[in-house]
Amino acid sequence: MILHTIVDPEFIWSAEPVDTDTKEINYKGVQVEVRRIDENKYVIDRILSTELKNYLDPELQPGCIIEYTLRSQG
Amino acid sequence: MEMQNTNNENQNNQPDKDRGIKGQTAGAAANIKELGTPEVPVAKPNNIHCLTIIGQIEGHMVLPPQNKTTKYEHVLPQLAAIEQSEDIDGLLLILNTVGGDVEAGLAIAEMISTMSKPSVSLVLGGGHSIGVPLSVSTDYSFIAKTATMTIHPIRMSGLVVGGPQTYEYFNKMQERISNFITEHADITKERLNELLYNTGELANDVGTVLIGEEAVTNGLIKEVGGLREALDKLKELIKAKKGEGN
Repeated sequence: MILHTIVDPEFIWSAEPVDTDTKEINYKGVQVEVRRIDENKYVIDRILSTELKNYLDPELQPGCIIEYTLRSQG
Repeated sequence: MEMQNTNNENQNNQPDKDRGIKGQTAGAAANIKELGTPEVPVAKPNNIHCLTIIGQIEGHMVLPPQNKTTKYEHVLPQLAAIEQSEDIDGLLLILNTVGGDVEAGLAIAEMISTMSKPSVSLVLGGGHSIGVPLSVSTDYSFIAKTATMTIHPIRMSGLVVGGPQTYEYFNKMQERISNFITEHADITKERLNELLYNTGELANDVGTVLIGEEAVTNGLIKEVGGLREALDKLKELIKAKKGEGN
């Protein structure tokens, strides 16, 4: 594997312990990356879709808190 | 101006703009579903989709979390879906990347260059290293006035077997990238090699940094421009493509 980048490899691979609990979910038909903050409560980190209208959706803005359970969303 | 119209249209069609920004409406939506109320009107899908290549392009190895990454397992199926969808007419590729995995970068670049739908790229901030083949993979390319592109040869860190084969292998890997760039941009192999192995530009590396206009004069990028120019060009290409079909 070759990384062709301007970033120093030492920085790329320095595994600083970062406390993240992110995962990708399908919320209302849109693929989003979320961070868990509470049981069934997540904060949207970013939208992974290419559909531009999703970026205008107030419910999908990064930082929005959503309720999500694996069961209810199937 | 056309862009603004599209935005207004989207906002007007949005059924839930009064719900506030919290986004805690999962319950309400579920109720609507449970009670069998007619489907809420959904905004028309956009005919232009936008793919952003940001941060590091992540390959077969997951990078530590301090890296902001674009993952190929997201991007490749999205590109296939865009190509296959009847509602989508074109792709806008927005690049602000420091480079990344060679295999992943070339895979995405090959997917974009073999798409039948019109595509336009816009380099903002940076389109470095493996971002270069990505920026030239589209039908037309733009670079922002202030954006930079670093052209430099590939290298490997860590333990490398110091034999002539290693050198050969590196040459081959560099050729893959250089060939893709020269095939999809107006730059000659000779000029690209000059930029790649230039010793006077970077403090701790060989290579060249191109800023905005320089990328255009060297034949890598087609035009200096921004969002408006990129979208106008994409719409023009879409129109031309539709005209062809009739």
